[in-house]
Amino acid sequence: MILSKFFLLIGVALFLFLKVLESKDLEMWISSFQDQVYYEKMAALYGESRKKDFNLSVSAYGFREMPDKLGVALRTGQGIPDLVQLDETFFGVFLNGPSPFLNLRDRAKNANLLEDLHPRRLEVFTFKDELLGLPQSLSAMMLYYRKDLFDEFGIEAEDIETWEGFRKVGQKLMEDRGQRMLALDGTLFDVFLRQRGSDLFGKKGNFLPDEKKALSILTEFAEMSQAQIAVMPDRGSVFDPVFFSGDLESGEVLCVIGADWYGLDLFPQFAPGMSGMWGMMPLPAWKNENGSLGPRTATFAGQGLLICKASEQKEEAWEFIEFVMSNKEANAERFLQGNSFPAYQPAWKDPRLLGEHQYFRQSMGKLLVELAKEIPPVRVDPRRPQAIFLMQENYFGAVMSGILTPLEAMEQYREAMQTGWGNVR
Amino acid sequence: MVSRRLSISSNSLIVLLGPFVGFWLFFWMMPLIFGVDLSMRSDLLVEKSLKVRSVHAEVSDGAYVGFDNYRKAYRDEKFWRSLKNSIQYVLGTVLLTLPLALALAIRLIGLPRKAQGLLLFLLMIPGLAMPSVLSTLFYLFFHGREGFLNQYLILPLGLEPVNWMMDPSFIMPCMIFQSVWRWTGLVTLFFLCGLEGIPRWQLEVAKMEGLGGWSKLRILWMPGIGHLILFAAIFLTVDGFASFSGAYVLLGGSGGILDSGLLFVTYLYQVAFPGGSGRFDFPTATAMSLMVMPFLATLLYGILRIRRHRLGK
Repeated sequence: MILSKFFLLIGVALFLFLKVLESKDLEMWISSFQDQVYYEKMAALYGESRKKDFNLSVSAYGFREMPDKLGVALRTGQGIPDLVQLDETFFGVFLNGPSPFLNLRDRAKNANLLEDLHPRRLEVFTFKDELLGLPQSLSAMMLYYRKDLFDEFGIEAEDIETWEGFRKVGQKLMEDRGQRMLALDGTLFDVFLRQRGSDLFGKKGNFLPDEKKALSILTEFAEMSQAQIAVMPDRGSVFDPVFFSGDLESGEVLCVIGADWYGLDLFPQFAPGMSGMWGMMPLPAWKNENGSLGPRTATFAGQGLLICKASEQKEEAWEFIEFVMSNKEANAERFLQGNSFPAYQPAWKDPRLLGEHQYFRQSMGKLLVELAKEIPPVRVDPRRPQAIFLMQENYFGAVMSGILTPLEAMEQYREAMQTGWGNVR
Repeated sequence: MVSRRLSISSNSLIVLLGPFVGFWLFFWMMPLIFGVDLSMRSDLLVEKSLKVRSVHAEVSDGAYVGFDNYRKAYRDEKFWRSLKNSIQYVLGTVLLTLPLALALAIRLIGLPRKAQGLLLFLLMIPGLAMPSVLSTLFYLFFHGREGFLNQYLILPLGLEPVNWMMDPSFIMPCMIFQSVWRWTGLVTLFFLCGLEGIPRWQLEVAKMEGLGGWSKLRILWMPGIGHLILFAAIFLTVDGFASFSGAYVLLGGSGGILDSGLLFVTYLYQVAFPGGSGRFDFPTATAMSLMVMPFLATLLYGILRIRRHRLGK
């Protein structure tokens, strides 16, 4: 009798234990409130396609808040999620020490994702030969321009092929009509560096490997800024909602530089009344020393999906990621919901991605597919996020407004990177 | 009998002080001890928390680095810059808010009750609103070309619009102005309450003696609300040093051009959290906080000394 009660008790305990294990949700943290709807939909689609009960708990935080929370969780070891959606800008922050993310290389290889995802975007989440995340967006930068005002002022977008040409058009516009051409942002420094064939870090991890190019970029745009061809928004950011309602809607500038997610998400959200007024074109190229033209794009930011090493449901997390990355509907939905243009190349044939965009009345997909071949590489370094933010917040605006010379800014930039990183390493 | 009374009084002392001491130990002393411990650790992520096996020979669980983080903070120019900015911010706020609030309170006390209440309410609105909301309003106020200040003051004077938040010489004054605007109403209320407490006969005597404005201020008003001035100064100082959200909204999380508006807490956030400025260095941020503690303790002691001196008088 006692023995049977004992076995019954063991059986109940085992059942409860298995039930607890079975019902444990996969926990995902994302850094965009808009994406919550998307992931919940994808979880339902994944559950349906695999014919199983799949529970995904999605916690959405702000762009900067999510890395903050993830940092605290990783530092304390408490409440680490199974998978995270992290912007590549913050990826480097977590590479300081042993990687908290799972190496996905073998899994991605078996799922053919190493071939199907754009190679340049895969590099963005690769560190020390470990593929620590899968990129979701192409994030190729384009020039968004005011179609209506270009027509009014007689400017042909196709004629602007180089930054030199862009400057000439801007100069004429300023002289003739007192109209500014371009909105600047501190994050563009890193973009222009890569567009010119350099980067923030060299192969050996040396900071600003080509200072000459860095100086010439700052000088070029500082001159444009002094001549009022280009202008810094009030808080130095083109991601600010007030920039859209103020500078853009009042026609203060004719062009803004942004990636696919910038046009898909921010324009319709912050300037809904300007639908049909904006067009898209490749970035003007830089002239190489031999006179040839460089790439007409470079990438900036963009989300990736990563699995935390602390997760107890790594396989489940991987299967979901694989589904989101390679499923046709999942990729189309990401574009149609206004998140981003996928880095998954087989999806680029989908007519839904290549059709005319409702807001821009032009095909964004076709332009991005054309530019994808020209994307220059990004060198990942744990110090990269700090280098981007330092330039954006401290030096770019100071140079553009003439408070610092490009040379002074470069010296201070180097010094600040040295101090911020400490002399320990 | 005496010993029993003492025992009862010491028991009640324990009962009354117990919760405070408990909370103090739990919420102040323990975090402080953990903070000291954290400030001496490496900023590298720890394997134990990541549940991974180390591939980095130099990193072990909870690696101690001694005073490295303090040294790093000491050598960090931005740390000193942020401290200097915070001191400027606090001094500017205190030195502008207190006289302004006192002048307003003196003007208000002579008004009829209804007008006094209405004006006081209007003055207090900024103090009742959330700092982030206020900063958004201020942001629109200071906006480069379209802002209220440029549209209604600078441009009508035929001057070039000032980009207030991008010009290093204007960033700190703008932030101080925002703080003064926020707190003046509330401090005016404190002072008004203090002034109401001054016996009416003293005012009548002053009137009969024909005291001028300055003499009245020196002999009557100031001594009457001295303790409130001290309280407001401490309040504004503490608020100024802990100020974060206002500056965060106004400058978008950065310190502004050339760090002209970088406050101490903003910089701690930038150093500690990944979202701040791409760094992720809790230990150094903790070391910075601990380095400032003696300075703040001295400041508080100084203010309390002034109070004791006043009471002695």
